[in-house]
Amino acid sequence: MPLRSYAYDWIAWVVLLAIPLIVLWQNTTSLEEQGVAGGGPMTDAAMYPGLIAWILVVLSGVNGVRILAGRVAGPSPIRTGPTTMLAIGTVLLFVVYLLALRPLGYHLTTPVLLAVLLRAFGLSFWTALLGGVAVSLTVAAVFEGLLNVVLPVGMFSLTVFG
Amino acid sequence: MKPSLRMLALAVGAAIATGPALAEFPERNIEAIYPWAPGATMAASQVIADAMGEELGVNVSIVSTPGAGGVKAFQTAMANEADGYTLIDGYVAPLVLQPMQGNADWSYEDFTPLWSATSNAFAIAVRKGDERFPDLDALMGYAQENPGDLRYSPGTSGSLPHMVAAKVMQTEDALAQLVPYPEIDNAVRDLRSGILDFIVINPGVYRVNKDDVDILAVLSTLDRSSETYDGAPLIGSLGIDMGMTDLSPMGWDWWLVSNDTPDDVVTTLQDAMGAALAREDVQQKLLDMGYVPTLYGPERYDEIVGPVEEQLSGAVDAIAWEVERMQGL
Amino acid sequence: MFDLILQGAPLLFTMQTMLLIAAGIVGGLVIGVLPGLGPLMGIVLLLPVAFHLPPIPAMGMLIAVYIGGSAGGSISAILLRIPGTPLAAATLFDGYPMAQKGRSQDAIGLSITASALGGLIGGVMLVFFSPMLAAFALRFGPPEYAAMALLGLTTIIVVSEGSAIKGLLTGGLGLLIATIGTDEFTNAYRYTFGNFNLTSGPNIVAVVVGLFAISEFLFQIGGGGFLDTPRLQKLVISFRALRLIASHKVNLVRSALIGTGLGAIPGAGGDVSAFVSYAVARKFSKPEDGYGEGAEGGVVATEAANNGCCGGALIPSLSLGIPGDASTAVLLAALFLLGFFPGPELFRSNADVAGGIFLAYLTGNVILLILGIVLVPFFGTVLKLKKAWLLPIVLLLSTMGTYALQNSVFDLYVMLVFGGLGFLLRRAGYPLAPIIIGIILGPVLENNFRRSLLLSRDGPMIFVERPISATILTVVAIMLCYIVYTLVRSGRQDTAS
Repeated sequence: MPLRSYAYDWIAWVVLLAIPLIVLWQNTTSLEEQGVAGGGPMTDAAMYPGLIAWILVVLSGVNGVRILAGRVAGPSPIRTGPTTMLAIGTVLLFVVYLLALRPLGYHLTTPVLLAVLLRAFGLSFWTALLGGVAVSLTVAAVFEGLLNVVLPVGMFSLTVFG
Repeated sequence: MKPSLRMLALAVGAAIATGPALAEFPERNIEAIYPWAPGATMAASQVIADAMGEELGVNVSIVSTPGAGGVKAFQTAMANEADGYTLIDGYVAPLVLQPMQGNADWSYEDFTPLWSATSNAFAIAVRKGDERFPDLDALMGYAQENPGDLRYSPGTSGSLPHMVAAKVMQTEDALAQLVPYPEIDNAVRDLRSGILDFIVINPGVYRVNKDDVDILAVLSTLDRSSETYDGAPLIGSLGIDMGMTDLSPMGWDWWLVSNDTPDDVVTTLQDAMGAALAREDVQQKLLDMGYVPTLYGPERYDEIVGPVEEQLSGAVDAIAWEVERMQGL
Repeated sequence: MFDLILQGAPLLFTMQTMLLIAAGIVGGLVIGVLPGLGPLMGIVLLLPVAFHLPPIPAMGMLIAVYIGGSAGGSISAILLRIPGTPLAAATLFDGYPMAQKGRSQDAIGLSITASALGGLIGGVMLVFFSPMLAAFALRFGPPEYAAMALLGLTTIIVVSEGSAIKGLLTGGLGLLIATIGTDEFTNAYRYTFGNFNLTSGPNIVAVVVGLFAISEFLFQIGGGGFLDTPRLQKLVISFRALRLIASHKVNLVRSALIGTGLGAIPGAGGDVSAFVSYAVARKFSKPEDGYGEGAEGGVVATEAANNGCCGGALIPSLSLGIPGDASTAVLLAALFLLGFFPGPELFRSNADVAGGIFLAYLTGNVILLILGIVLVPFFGTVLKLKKAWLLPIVLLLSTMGTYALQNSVFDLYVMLVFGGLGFLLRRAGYPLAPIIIGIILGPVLENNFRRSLLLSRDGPMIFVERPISATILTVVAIMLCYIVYTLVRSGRQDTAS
């Protein structure tokens, strides 16, 4: 079944076709409304991206035929292994971390993220916890202390080295 | 699970205890949101930030947040809490120009000024020793007789230097083809190689490229602007009234905070910035870079920024005039 | 040429810069040693740090990471048969057999020495040729820059791994990503969907970190083995390699020159030059040298080439602003963030910066020679670092590094989205480097294209009326024909079989 065995190829194909189509759609809507989808090189902001988008659409067409005919380097099935759930979980955890970063600040969220990851990757509870705190503080020392970056302070206005 | 929850509770407890206590402002580093890409102009802001940081005893870092003609920086800054830890390096374009053009929904009155920082005058420059254009009269005369034939660049289109140049050309009924460049630095190259006929330069870029350009006119009414171009003539002395005076035709910035910022915090910041700008070494550094410290205190904000809008509206019309005339060719 | 060096010297020879270059070399070596992380990743992770430093120390550090990272990959290739970077893939052929014969110490010593000396030869070429190229490029106007951008894109597609069509697709994707934001000519918002964070386009650092670091992070989790530590032969500090390399002089110089030459062609890159110079060295060898069974010459050839390539890749990057590979593309982005415009202007207006960069490159290779050998036992320890520790640290550094550029959480979402995209495209066998080259060259191409048309007095003819732009465009046309030819031919062969 080609759809299964070339799964990643097909997903990539859809994404790489969708992006130029979005560009072409925006050209006829948003750019048209702003009055920059026509005229000479000074006023036409849609011509160049439109040109690139059409080239991509054509290339995607050719590429679709190639995948259909099985003429890509090799099959790309989605294989699930013992670490698949771990990978998905990590991504979800990271999204939660990003959501919490502004409201809670770096110093409350980062040690937790690190500790959970370290634990999930098989280290013992206490190693993970202490390691998470230590790594988090070290990175903060570099960014806050040495580079004067204002890391997210969160609602409690927490900084350690700033 | 239990130990981790307990640890978390401890951590949160400790955080609240030590957190927003009644400590003296500022107790941590401050960011100043800067609306353009890094470059010579940002270096000038960095000089002020460093000096201000020394006064405050914390670090003030310039965060470059370019985009949408400076609007992105303002929006980014306003999304932060009004606690004085976020300053706005308020350039005229996002502060006055963009709202005028309907690209932003604030007015200058929505911000509390700290101090006025620097100003820099624009100037019309041609290739060094270009025999066709020994002076501004020759350049404008040519552009009158051959409308749209010359190619010029003020950097990005719709920017302040573009407006001022368009206004001058409208006054002289001269017309040239606009060629935008992301930074005026890049346009110098094409001026030198003869692709462009003239550019609208700023003092920072002029300093680096002195050997390649001749300044025909400084687009300012202030004598000290001429000094930043080694004494090149002010446009008024050439008999041209561009209808803009003082700060209006120039690039300038006020450092600002949101109106919701607590008064004592504002006072601390104002005092620090005032003290920083009063320092001889800071002023000299800025002048060396081609940026003139304006030294207007916060009490003069309304008086100085207010009239700018009116004068600039004439310049906005000048761009519309330029576009219309070019399309008519 | 020498005045450039002289002008750069005071900027470079300061304690801070020297320490940062040394730190960059060590950091680059460590990142190169660790499987999966290459010089590009090193540069990307340190970009935010560099952004908070003065220009020369910053560029010195990044270039040192580039050098160290290009050299470090060979160590894991020799010891573990896992090339730390694609650059070191060719080093496997003889490096690993050498180690199996109990000569891992010599193999690593040779690879470091060859890297450093090859890099120095590349550096001399860089110092010699880039001011010449820059002086020539002073004649370039918008049409030439548009043509050069097209050339850079086409080359990377021709030489990038995988099929040409996939390279074309990802290169085109990069060009489209580059159009997101505020249009330079009309000030219109393109493809921002009303989000003000996008008005300056997605942050290039967020995109690069996402595509490379985050996707690698996901790959590594998929690979498992978080607590594994490899068994290694005992390693000591030994300068014996300096004597060994003396018998490979010709091979060393030849390979370094091949590397530099190929590196200077935008897009060719270190892995290609390593394979080519290995093939050449093998062709010139005698049967008793035993290439493929642990020949010293094989290690020398590949390592001299892939570090010579760094010097080569910097030539078009600095003098034209056209990056040689993805790493130099990010170096260019760094230079731009620091407020300098790569290209002929750099050599005119900021000669001290250009000279400082040259010196940083040369100095970096000297430091590599010393530190690379002294730290050999340390790299053995680095290789024993468990993935369980490595992965969270890489994730955190990527995240905070990206955040620190504009103090923006939005950039982190951009990073995550591109991480997912990078993972998907790699799974499907698409090359990622063309995306980065596309993003860097996109504005150069579009704006100079439109600018040319504004300047032109007879429309698109401006591109063919000017001899330099006409020549470059002819080369591009030939390369495009070649791409189409290979596509059609591979199609035919498939049908035949």
